[in-house]
Amino acid sequence: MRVNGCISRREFLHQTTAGIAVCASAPLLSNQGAAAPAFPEPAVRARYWEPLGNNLVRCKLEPRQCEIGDGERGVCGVRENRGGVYYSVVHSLPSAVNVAPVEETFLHALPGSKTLQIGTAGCNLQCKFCNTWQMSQTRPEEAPFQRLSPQQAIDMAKNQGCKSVCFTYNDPVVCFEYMCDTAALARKNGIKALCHTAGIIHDEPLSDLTKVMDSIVVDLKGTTKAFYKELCGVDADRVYNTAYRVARSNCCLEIASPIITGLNDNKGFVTVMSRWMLQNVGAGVPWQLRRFYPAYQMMDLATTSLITMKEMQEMARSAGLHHVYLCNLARPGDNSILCSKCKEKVVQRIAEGCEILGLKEGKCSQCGQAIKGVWQ
Amino acid sequence: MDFDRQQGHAAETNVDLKRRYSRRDFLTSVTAAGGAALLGLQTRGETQVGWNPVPGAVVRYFDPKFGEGDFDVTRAKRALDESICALTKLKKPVTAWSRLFTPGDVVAIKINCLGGPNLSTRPGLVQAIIQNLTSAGVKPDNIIVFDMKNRELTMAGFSLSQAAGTPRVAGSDALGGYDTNFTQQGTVATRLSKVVSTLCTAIINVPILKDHKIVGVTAAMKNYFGVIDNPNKYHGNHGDPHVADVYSIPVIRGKERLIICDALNASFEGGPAYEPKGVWRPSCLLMATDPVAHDYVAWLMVEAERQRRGLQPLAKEGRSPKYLLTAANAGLGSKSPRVIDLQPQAA
Amino acid sequence: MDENFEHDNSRREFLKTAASLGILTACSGCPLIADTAVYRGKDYPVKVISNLPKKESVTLKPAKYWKDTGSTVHCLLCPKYCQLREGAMGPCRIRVNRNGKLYSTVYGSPCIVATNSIEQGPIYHVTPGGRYLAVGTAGCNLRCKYCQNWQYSQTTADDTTNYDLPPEKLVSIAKQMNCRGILFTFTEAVLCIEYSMDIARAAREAGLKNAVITAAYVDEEPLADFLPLLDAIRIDLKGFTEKFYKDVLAATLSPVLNSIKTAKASGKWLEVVNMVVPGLNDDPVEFRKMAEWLMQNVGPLTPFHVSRFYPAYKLRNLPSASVSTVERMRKIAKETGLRYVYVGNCPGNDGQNTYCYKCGQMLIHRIGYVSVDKMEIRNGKCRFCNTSIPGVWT
Repeated sequence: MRVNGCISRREFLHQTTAGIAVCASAPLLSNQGAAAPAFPEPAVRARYWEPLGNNLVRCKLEPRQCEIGDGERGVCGVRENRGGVYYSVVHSLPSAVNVAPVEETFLHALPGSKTLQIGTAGCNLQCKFCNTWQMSQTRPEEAPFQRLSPQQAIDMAKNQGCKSVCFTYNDPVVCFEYMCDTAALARKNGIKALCHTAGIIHDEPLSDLTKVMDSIVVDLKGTTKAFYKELCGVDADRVYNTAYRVARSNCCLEIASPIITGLNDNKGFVTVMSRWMLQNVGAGVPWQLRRFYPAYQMMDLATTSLITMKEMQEMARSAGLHHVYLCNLARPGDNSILCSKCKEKVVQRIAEGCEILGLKEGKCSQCGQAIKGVWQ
Repeated sequence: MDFDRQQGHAAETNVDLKRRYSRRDFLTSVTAAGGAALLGLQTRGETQVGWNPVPGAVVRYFDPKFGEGDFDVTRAKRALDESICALTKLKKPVTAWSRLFTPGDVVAIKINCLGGPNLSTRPGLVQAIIQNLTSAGVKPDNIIVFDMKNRELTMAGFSLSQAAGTPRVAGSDALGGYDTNFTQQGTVATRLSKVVSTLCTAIINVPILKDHKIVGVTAAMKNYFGVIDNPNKYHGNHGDPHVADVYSIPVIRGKERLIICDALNASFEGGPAYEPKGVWRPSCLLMATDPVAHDYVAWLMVEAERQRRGLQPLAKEGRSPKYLLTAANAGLGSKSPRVIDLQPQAA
Repeated sequence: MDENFEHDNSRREFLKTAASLGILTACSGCPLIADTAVYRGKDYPVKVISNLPKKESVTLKPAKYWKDTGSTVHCLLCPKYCQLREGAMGPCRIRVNRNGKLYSTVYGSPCIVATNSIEQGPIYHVTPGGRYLAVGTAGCNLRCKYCQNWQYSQTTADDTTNYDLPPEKLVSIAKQMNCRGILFTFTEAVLCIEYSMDIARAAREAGLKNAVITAAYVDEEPLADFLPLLDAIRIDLKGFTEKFYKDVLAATLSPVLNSIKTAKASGKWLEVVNMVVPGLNDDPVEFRKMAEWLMQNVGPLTPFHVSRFYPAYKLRNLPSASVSTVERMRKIAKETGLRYVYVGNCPGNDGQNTYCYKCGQMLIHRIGYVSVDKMEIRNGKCRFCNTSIPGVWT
């Protein structure tokens, strides 16, 4: 009776407060010999920074423009100044690598295919509802990590039958160098590059990013500055600008919004968002309404009601957006793609199943209407 | 920790009152602290009887002969002994130390090693503290000298050790890392070093006196940014109120027993990193139990040195340590320190 | 195997104690009655099934309802929404993270299997007296301080003796034992959702009914998937304040209320149970609010059981609820307009019987906890005045 027994008993103790008191010091002391492998020293120089003299540097990747002394890191926790040179600490050291259906992050990219999802430690936001806080809100030394160079990532994607690599989990802006190197290599190897970002980034790195990416999901979490300041700890100025710029680049755009109970699960949010999208990025850009599950500092909120989400979806559709999806459900529902003109079903996607019905070279085979997305 | 309730007592800066609150807050956080810690604190309660610290007392001990690059251990020990007697108004140093620490305590000494070999807590001072702790009956095995990482300790000149029968000298990374779950306190959500949350029952805070280009001044309270896993997230708005929030995490505040600031060398400009032109030599030790009073004194010392050198006051540079006022208003300590200046008797 | 032996012993002892104390109806299920012949009318002994194949070790089955968040998995089954790191087990003690994937440890390994009358649920308006195969697995997401099955619900599958019963096998046993259907009870059926759904599917194909006893502390999505496979669902509404749910069960109230509404809207047969615990949820004002909420949200036709508390588990210091309290509560509930309000755990009480709402004739007479000796409902109608009585009668 003890095959898996030892594990579960131990885990049980971990899970209970009583257990902490009981096993407080003993396991810690005995663990010292078998410490985790040390986190490697930073080896890859960061891009977008300037020296300020006296070994000080200024980061120019995102609008905070952290000023960083010798031996210190920016607010992201993964870019470090070593003797006046700025390094990316997490290059080739992702914290999470997973093969997953592309539909988890992208609705208009290679339907039905698998993608290699990659995320590193660190983030330039501190959202109170973050569900990857174990890696995004900590230093890379305190998160799990593995070595995976861009070349290894591409090889892995190929071996696992993935048609794309997708930078997600944390905000990949903070591992900009790793993401761009991997994306450039992916293009050479015929693999698509995708990323999911909150859009807190300067224009210059953004335009470089759009040159190597095939599609970008920009998170538009709230419609007010106060929302971003209070819940995400950032100034929202750049976010909408990022979505605007991506929409005007060669790179495809999708918009995602976490729908959080009591914060933005209301009609006002849909009204403002759909108006903004219609005016600035176009009706054809997909909008993902992502279900929120209590996490991190927002464990007290209820999960988003599915009924509310469906109402919001209907509202957004009737406001004129062509592609509105409900995402991040435990089991995907009906996320079929309808032609924006003739309303014919071009991709049937119900639950885990996916079938391309009438989509040729990015156009509806019925009426020839072009549908935005990465299709091959 | 009930922050609001404490604000109601903002005017009262009685250290006794503070102790009582912190004990209760601490007890409510037994979950994080674990049974061992609880026991330690209870015994401490008994030994504390009869000790009435002066509210806001901060002892400054100046000795130009402390040493060049490091403290002379004998002189440092004498300074500690005289300071603790002045602080506790007790005659014998051993009595004073054993009022603060009992043989059952596991004492963590939180040093500050970010400034490299030239601007970090000096091993000589730590040595002297350890001698005093053992004189109070604390077992060498139960003394932990730590900062964030092994690497930083090594660079600051400490030799790592986890041998039995000696104090442990290591980074949090080699001492069990950080908690699995986060602790939330005010604006702060973070994972605590296991040294603080589970291993130790008492903390001696041994910071460095430094200028800080973001939060203004870093000394006792800011030193606890070294026991959390995401300090990078809490430098916004000049660390206000994040520094006060981190300090008021119950296990930190409830376990801190003493602050001994290493001001052999200190920085008035260019901190927190080591900037040779921004360092002066006060050749001084600060000792206190009230972190806010202590940090106010530290701030005044930095400002005085800046004035002497013809630099602008921190407020003019828009980086006065606002978090101190927030902390005082939250009842974490007194903003009107009573400084007790000491120096060695004629040798 | 030593441990097996111990477990068998302790279980038997527990059963003896339970039987002697007369604690037969549980909060979210009921403990087993062993060696106690209870009859429906004249036949159907209720008993533990012997000689079932035993499982030697815990096996893992890929779980449903979770998301990968990089360094953890986010379990989306119940409103605790745990994030489990590598190797960790949820507080339900059922679902574990192995190599970044979520697994269920109880699939195909129930720790209790017995034939049982459906009245033990209690479910009163479904096939009265019908024999069901009652099945339960180890673990629970709640921490009810008065749990009557804590030996099973507050432990892991490692520490119970489990049977090796894949869904098809279980269903064939039910057929063999001449059962009307499967009763998911004892612990929390929605937590082993993968197993429960497979059983329910197989049972339905075999022409059996599915009835579930649950505290309904579960997310909308799995519940919506599970409901279509069921015939009857009985939900515990254990209290009507968030404070009660937090202090006594370590859970929250609002997801349960949502589940009750969802269950009603699904059109499946629903019954609701509340156990009156002295000093904790026996405030008549709160109780009236609960009854009024039920009246508004599930309507007058939903049977509502007011059950009597017996000291158990961590609340052995409390007295049992008095029969008069339970009767008073029943009266309050009836005043709000609910038509079928029953008392539970009060053997021989008239409040256990079903009366025609219109003509007042007794339609079902229940003796003790589980036996039915009079049944005057024909084709879903009162035999005396032809009023239709809601329920699943055939």
